[in-house]
Amino acid sequence: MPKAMSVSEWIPDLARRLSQLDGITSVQQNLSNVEVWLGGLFFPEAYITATRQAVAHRKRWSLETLHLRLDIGQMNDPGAFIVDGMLFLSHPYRQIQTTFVGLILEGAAWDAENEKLILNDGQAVRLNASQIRWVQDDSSNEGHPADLVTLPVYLNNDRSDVMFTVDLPFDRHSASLVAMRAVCLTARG
Amino acid sequence: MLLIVLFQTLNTLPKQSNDNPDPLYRLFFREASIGRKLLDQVGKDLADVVKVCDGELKQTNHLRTLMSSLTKGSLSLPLCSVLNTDAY
Repeated sequence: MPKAMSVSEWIPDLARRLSQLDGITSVQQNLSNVEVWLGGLFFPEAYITATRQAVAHRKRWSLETLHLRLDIGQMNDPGAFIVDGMLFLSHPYRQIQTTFVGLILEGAAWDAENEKLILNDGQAVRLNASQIRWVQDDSSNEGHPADLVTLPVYLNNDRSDVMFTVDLPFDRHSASLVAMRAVCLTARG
Repeated sequence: MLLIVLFQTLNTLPKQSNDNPDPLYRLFFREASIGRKLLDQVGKDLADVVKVCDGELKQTNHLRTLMSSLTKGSLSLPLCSVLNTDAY
């Protein structure tokens, strides 16, 4: 949890986490289709691992050959895992609240039209619901494509725990700027 | 107030138990049980604090740390120690 968190923030946060788990466990079947607030899991890395295992099992691929893809703002692949979007909170007394939870992109924005990252002045941008796909990478011998940058996905904006890294498209001429601006994704919505 | 919000959520976490090879199922089952454990611990701790204030319970080191950090509003170790991890 973030270092600067106070009790008055922690309690509603816990309530939101439990509310998400409550929602998920009541689905009972076809758990691969539920939308997940990644930062709201107790062990988000385990979710990533579980999706990896599930895909490997489903497609009978070897675990080592799988590579993670994050499609920001897209939810078109029925076999993909949807992370983050809107969380519906059922409150005992009030009507159902919706909260935006999602991955946050820091230091850059997402250009949905051209499907690439664009640098901004350092603001944090909330991303729409996105999908995680595991693909079998046949082109791994060709090396790292020049127009992809590898970004860390941190647990929260303490930036102390890296959950995983994703490759996202970016203008190839200014790729070093991404490192200098410390662009990253954080999962705490 | 805190107690009310939390305890209302407590009853709604369903328990499922059987062997299921689906990794996602096992993951969410684990998450749910952590959540339940955490909620129980927090509920118990807060109820104990109330008891201490009413003079029905003697203070322990655990409760003393908890109460001093509650008044400061900072997160204390006792509150989250049930997870046995400081990262989540």
